[in-house]
Amino acid sequence: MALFDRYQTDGFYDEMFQPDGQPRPHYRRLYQRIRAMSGEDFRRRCQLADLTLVNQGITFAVYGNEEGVEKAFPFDLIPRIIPAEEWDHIELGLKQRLVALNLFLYDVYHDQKILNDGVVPRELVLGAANYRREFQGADPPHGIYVHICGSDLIRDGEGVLRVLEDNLRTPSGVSYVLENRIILTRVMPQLFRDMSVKPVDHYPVALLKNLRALAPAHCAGSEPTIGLLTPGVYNSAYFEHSFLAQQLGIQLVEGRDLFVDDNQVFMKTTRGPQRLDVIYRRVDDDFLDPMVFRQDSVLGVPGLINAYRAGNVALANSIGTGVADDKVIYAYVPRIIKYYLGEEAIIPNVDTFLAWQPSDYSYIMNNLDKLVIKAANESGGYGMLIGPQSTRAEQAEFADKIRANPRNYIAQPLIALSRSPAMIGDNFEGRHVDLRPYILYGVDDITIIPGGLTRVALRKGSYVVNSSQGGGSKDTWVLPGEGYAGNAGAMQKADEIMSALSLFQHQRQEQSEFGSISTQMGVQ
Amino acid sequence: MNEARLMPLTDEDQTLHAFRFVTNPSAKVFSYTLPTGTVHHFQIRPPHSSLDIISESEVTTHRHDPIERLANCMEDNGFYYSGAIWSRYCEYLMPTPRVQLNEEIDAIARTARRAAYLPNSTTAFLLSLNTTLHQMVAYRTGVTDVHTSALQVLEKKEGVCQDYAHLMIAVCRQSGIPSRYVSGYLYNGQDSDALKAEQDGHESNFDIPNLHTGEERFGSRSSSNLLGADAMHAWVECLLPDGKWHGFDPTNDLLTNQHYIKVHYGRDYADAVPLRGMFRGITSAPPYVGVSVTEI
Repeated sequence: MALFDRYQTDGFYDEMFQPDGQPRPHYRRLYQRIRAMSGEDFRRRCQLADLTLVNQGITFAVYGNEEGVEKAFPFDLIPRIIPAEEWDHIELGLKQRLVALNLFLYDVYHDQKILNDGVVPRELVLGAANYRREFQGADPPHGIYVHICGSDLIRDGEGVLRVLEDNLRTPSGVSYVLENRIILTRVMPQLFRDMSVKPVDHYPVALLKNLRALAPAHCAGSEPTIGLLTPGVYNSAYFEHSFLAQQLGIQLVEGRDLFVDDNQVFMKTTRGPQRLDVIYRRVDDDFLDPMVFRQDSVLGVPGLINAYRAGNVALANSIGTGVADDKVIYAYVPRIIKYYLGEEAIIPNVDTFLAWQPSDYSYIMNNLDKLVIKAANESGGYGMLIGPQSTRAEQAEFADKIRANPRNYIAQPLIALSRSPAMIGDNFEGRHVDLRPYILYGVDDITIIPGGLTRVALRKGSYVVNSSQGGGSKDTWVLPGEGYAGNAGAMQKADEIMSALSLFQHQRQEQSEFGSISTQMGVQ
Repeated sequence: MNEARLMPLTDEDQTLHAFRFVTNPSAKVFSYTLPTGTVHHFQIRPPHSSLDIISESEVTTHRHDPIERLANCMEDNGFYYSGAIWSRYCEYLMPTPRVQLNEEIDAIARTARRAAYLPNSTTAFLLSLNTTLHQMVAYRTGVTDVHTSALQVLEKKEGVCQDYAHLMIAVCRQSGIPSRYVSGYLYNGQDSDALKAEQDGHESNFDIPNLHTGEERFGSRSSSNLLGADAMHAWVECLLPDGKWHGFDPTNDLLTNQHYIKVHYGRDYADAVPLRGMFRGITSAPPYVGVSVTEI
């Protein structure tokens, strides 16, 4: 029996299949190629991919799990495909959104026109947990607050793409986008044959270019020294921090490696202090500088914020960006876009009820079993209630929390997220997916690498795609538009040769690495 | 590494003519200005056994007679019911960790309202509240610290100027009156007609030690007649129906006059900390703080 023969869409919007069971046009070629494979062949390639993940240490850390801290991030081999026209729409929508959110942040930290005009209630902004009063009136280089953004998109039951949330602080996951592509080209090179999938490997170059452009005036044309500031090995995204630092060719530093002198930031090196000019920080505001924010933090660098304020070092992202990805402010983003750009939002939001509004409050309290409740400032799938899948006790617990602090909670209808086939055991089954594209806001332009991270909730029926909650990921393909046709015959031949070669080399490498692991285990 | 909020503001009530900020051992001092005042910061990396911080300022105050100013706003005329007040001043109406709002706070408001000489006048209420708090809380140093909240002050019924201020702010916000915390200097002279005042020789000194991070408090001690005059003082500003901020000093049961020199303001103490910093080493003597204000 061929793969997909028993696949069911179960009434959900499926990314790959139409309701009549036929593959969608942009998936047709992929469908044929996978069907041409035997189940055994497919599973063998899955094992190869899994092994690569383990061997390369592509992991993330789960907090509060006794079984162990580091886990491999499961990778599902069926790519998620986005057709060209849809990608154009997504790209436009994300650019519009990020431009508006940057204007909003600049305004909030300067004249507060949008608050004075009553478009966004002042108390929501000034009362937001991530509003940084200390940073009021400070000027980040080029007026850019968010240099790296990861917005989560979902497709609802009607097939409409919506923004679920924005991540404007220290979004993570891009390393998996890059690694997934590398692994998939190695274990299933034949899938890519004359598909002209848009590349993603220019992300590190684009990010590095943007970071360089932030170099403070004192660098005056000379090469700035750039560092990636990580909270350290216990952070869930440490793999990504080290991966990106290596890809970008920049220093990987922790707070204890840095110090501030004379309002300038220095890195301790074996050859004495070296001045640091640009910091891609992956440490949250709260922990960045004990002089200004949390005084008990040992992850940060005392004096860093004042050095930044004085323009002696650049930070990406800037300070206080979390006020714009607060889940309550999220509900206002369409109005924020309209206010600054005079346009309607290209990608709509998910309908959102705000517990602080009396009218919404009673609706939320009466429908806890139907709604998704989220805390305003949590991420990673923590602090969340999925009403239809919750127990009465869980609902009561959230009712108490909302009653105690309505400002901190929002509610949304449960969206029947679209599904995509994933290999579960020996068969393909539909699993819910989302999409996190990565948007780089540079001095001159906005770059979005085609696709992004497709996360998939591997637990049956689960809507939570976060890696910390049992999620996995897929490679995400953006295909070129109509009218694109390469020299199919020649490319096919070249591809076949390349794929045979790479698969061969790959297997050999895996075998030898696997061998060395066994040896070590034997010794123990 | 230290951050100081010690430089007086210039506004319609006072003008700063000169400001000098030096440290011993000497350090390069940087500064930036926020809407709520100016911050100076510096850092001394070499080991040192003591640190002196000296800030001197020359200020002219030209505050009008506070009683006369209040005469214009004895009537509320629905001022506080307008939604615009909340949306514009919510920062000074919301609770903070030091300024909690609850039923106990409300009880003080009711007491003060009953004692006010005019019913339904916010200004009369605030005058009464100023007196109520002055009588209710005993001035005593050493019983509270910089983390003490309004509710704790209410429980203890004693404290220093910032405790009076936090409690008054809590009552005001509970009653829907925008109010903010002000830190500054107080001239404790004999001549109450003096219009010019100078503050000089504001010193602190702390010995160095074990990784200690924290805020250095400038406590207040009683002096001959006005409380809080030989250290950094703190009082409250409330928004009155004339749309302006008016100063109340519940520690001394006074309205702020030309003897009050405003330095920094904010939602509570945390926004206006006169000096905060961190040092590595062993904690020893608490910082010594002295303020002297003289008329020139």
